[in-house]
Amino acid sequence: MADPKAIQFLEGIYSRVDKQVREIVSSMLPGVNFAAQDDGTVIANDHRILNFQGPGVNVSDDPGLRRANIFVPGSPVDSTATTVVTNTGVGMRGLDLRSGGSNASPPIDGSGRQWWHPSYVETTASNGNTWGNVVINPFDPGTLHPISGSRIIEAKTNPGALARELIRHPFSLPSGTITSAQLQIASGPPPGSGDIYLNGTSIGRGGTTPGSSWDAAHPTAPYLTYSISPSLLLPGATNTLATDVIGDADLNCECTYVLSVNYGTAGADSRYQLLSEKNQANGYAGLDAGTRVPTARLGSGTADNTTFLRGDQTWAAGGSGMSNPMTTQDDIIVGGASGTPGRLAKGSDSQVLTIDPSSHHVAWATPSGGGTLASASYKRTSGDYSTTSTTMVAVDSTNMNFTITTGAHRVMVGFAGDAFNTGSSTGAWLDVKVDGTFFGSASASFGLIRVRGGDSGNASFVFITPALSAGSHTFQLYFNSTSVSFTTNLSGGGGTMGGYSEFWVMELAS
Amino acid sequence: MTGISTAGKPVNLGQLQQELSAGGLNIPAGLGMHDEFVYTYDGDGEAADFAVADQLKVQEVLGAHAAMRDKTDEEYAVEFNDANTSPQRKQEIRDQMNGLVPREQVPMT
Repeated sequence: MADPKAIQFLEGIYSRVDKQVREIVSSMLPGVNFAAQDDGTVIANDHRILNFQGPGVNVSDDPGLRRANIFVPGSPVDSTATTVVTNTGVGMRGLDLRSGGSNASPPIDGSGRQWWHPSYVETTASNGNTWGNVVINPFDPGTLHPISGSRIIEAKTNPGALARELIRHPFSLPSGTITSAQLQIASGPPPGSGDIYLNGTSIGRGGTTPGSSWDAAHPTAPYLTYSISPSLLLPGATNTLATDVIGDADLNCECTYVLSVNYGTAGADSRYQLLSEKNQANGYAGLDAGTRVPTARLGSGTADNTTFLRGDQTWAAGGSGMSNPMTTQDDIIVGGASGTPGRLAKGSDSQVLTIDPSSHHVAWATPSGGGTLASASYKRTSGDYSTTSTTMVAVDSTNMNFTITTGAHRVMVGFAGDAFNTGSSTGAWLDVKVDGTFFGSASASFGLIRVRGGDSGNASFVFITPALSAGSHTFQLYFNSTSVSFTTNLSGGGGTMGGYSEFWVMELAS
Repeated sequence: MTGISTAGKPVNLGQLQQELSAGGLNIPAGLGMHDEFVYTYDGDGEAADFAVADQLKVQEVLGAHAAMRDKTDEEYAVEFNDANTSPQRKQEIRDQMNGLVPREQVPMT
């Protein structure tokens, strides 16, 4: 069992040591401060927080990657515009270093800048050698590498074992926004080539997979790929790629590389339009001081209080309109010759608008037929009708002879009554003349229906004419006898036959 | 009014036509009658007055006309059922009602 006082003593020592250690560590940690520039001008310094403003700017924490993500609307987006820099381009400069000689060390210029620095002045090297154009070996058995078009660089002369060649490649990049860059490089095999510098910053080392070589057996040696931060590159300016190539086993300094620089296109954020798009083709129209679209943005021509905008985006004078020919209530407008509008006064009561059959033009006229269907009838209630005529004769020219005016309709014709002929066997005939023509038989000796002989019987009938023309039409009942010795009688009420007879006509609606 | 008035007298038009013909007046267009007027027809079949030369003859014949008609079934039935009707008469009635012989004529009233 430990002594509590001893434990308390040890805890006191631990607390004091912990405090001291924390203070020492804190004093050794540098301050994490930020500085901000606006187009190269420092506007803030020694701050710890960057505050991104604006309604479209979105800042989110990404703790998994120990970073914060800032999305700026309207920022450039990737495009297919890519600039490729390879070792096949002109402007590469090389310097051989020889092991054990006076030129064994990389040179420093007169200002003390290393050979890989962009500002390095390429004068006579401190080791006495001069920089020259890099020789591209056209006979190397290796194929084009890393991409088609790039060839292998070799030292100008065989430098011997552990030879080195320094390469400086100034190149220009077009203006624009660089979104990403990638360097693919393969240089002398292990023990490996030296550093690779981009604008003075080391981005890694060259070299290929151990055991690989550019020869007939290994025509496509593996290469290394480096992702280049866009901040390392200078769009619209001269950049410098420098690398230190170590000779391989067959005493050659071999190297090939491709630098791919990708550019972005501005203004592809669909949530916003640029002011530069205002009033431009496929852009948008700005509003005037009255918050309206200026007429000049709507169409060509002069826009004023007499012109109207047409569908072809042209301001044009409007039509003069039609002069009103109407002067009185209920007038209507009808077209005259060539459609000239004219006045047509209202017609009389119950007249209808129709086409006058004489003038063939629109006119008011009293309808003939139509609304009311015509009909007529006569019922005989006193005295029979009799005849001895063997040809068809009128039963009653006064009462059973109708004239009605119809439309272009059919007419139903009927007779109800008894009839008989005093002849004992054969009977006589009944028929109706419609507009002077017998409906039943063209022969005067026959008719529509036969009258019973010897005794009275039902002689009723009904028929429908074909459609008649619109206008006046006559309907008349006829009968005959088989012989002048016999009599044909139609019942007429109160006569010898008793009963009644009725003849009628009725216009149908169609 | 077209034609000659019958003054309410019963007329058997077929019988009258035969009587006119027997009196020497032929009316080929035939006779017609209604509303107690007897008339003939013109060429169109319409009622027409008799020729002026014939009107006196027509009136004469019409004045002597005693219209007759066939005896009806009802009249035959009354006679047939009469107890005084002889068997021979009954046979005549049967033949006339069945059309084997012409029916007897009786005055029209």
